[in-house]
Amino acid sequence: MGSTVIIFGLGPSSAQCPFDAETWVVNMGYWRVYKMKGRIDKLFTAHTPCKYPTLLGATRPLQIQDATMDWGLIDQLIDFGLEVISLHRIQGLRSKIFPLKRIIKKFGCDYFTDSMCYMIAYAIDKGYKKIKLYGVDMYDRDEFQFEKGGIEYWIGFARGQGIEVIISNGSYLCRNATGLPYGVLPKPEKSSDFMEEELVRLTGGELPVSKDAIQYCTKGGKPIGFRREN
Amino acid sequence: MASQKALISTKAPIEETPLATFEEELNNYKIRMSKLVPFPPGEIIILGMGKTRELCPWDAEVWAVNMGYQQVAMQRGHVEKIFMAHTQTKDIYGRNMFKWEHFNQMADAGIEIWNIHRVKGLKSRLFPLKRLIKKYGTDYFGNTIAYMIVWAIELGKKRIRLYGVDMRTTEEYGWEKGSLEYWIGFARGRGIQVDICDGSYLLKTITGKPYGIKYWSLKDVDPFGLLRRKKLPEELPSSSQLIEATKSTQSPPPPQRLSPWVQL
Repeated sequence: MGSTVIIFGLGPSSAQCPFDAETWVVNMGYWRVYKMKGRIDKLFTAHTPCKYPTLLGATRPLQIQDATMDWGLIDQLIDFGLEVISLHRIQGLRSKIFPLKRIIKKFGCDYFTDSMCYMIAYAIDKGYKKIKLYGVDMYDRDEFQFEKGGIEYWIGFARGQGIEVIISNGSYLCRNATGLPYGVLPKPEKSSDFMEEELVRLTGGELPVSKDAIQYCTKGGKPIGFRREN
Repeated sequence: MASQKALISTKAPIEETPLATFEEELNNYKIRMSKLVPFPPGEIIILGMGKTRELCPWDAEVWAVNMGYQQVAMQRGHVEKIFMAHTQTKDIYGRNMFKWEHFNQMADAGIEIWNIHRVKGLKSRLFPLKRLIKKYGTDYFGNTIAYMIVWAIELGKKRIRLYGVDMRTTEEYGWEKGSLEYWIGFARGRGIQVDICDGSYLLKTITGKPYGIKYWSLKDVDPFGLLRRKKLPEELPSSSQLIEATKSTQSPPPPQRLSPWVQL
C-alpha cells in the first residue's frame, strides 16, 4: 500500500486528476474515470439499491423505477480487480462492508455527511500520508450547506494528524465565502474618486443617471462600493 | 482515542439577570474574580453568544467574543480573554456597535482584548493572523470562534469546551459552520479534546445519523402500503375500511380527516 491516495469526486475539478496514485471513486464515478482513461482501485458507496415508485396518474398503474446504480456492472468490475466498499450489504454485490462502527469508535466521532467523509476517514485509518481530492467541489446547494462541513471536519482531522491533504483548484472546500479570512477587509487600492472616474470612463463620459442618484458607500472615507438608486 | 463527549449540563441554565451600569458590573466582576479558585490548566471554555451559553458551568478559563461580555455579566460569570475581528461598526441607526471605553476598562481590569485589527483608542493585542496562517498552512477562518480555536491550539491547550457556539442562524450555518468544523477536526487530530455543548448544530448531520444510514421508516410515509403495489386496486377501500385497518390497541386513534390521496 502506497502513501498517497486520490479521492475522486464527480465535480468539475475532477478534470485535473493526474491519476498518479491509488484512486478511490464514489458511486458512478467509474464512468468518468473510464472516459478520462484513468485508474480506479476502490469504489465506495453508501447507498442501497434505490427503487422508488412513480405515480403516473390515477388511470395508469404505479410503476417501480429501476435502481439508479448499475449494481450488476459494478459486480463484474470486481472480477477485474476493483475493490468495492459499501456501507450496506447489497444482495448480488460482492462488496466489502465499510467498518463504520469500528471507525466511529476509533476516532470518536460519527459526523459523516457524505461518502467522501467515509473515504477520508478510511484513508486516515489505513495510514495514508497524503490525500489528494479531485472533483470534491461541493458546488451544489445541498452539498454546500449540508455536506461540506463534514468533509472539512475530516480534512482538518487528517491535517491535525500530520496527513497532507491537497484540494484541487476550484473546489469550495476550505475556502472563505469572501475569499479572505473573517473580518479581514480588502484593501482599497484606488482613491475615493476612483468610483466616479471609473463610471465616467465606462459610460463614455456621461453618467447613466444624475450624479445625485448614485450613492457612494464609504467607510472612513475609503470607497467599498457604490449603490445606484432609481 | 477517547470519544468526544457532548456536553450535557446537569444543572439548570443560569438565569440572565438585568444589567446595572457598566462600572457597577465591572466592580462586581472584580469582586467575583478575587474569589475564584485557580482554573484547571490546559482547559478553556470558548463562549459564543448562542442560546446554549446558558449551560456554561464557568469552571475553567473563559474566552468570549465581541459583545459577549454583557452576557457573561448577566450570568454572573467571568471572562479572561475577549476576541474580536472588527473595527468599529455602526448599526442600522448609525450608532457605534462597540464601546471602546468599556473594552479599555476591561483591559485595565486584567481581561485580555484580542483583535485582528489595530484599532485606534482600543487597548487590544494584535492577533498574529499572518503567522498562524503561515504556520498552519490555511486561512480558512469563517468567524471569530475559528480564531479562538486556533489560538487555543497554538497555546497548547489540552481541552476545549464550546458553549453558545450554536451556528443556528442562516449565515452561520451556511457560511461559517464549515470552518469551525475544520478547526475542531484539526484540534482533535492533534489529540486535543474538543467538547461541544448539546444543542449546538456543530458536528451534527441533518438526519441525526451518519450519511447513508436509514433514518425513516416506510410505514411512516406509506402506512397503507399503496407505494408497494404494482398496480392500483380496482376498487379502493372506503374511508371506514381504512380507518378500521389502521386501528390498533397500541397505536393512537387515526385522524378523522383523511388525506386527499385516499379519497380518489
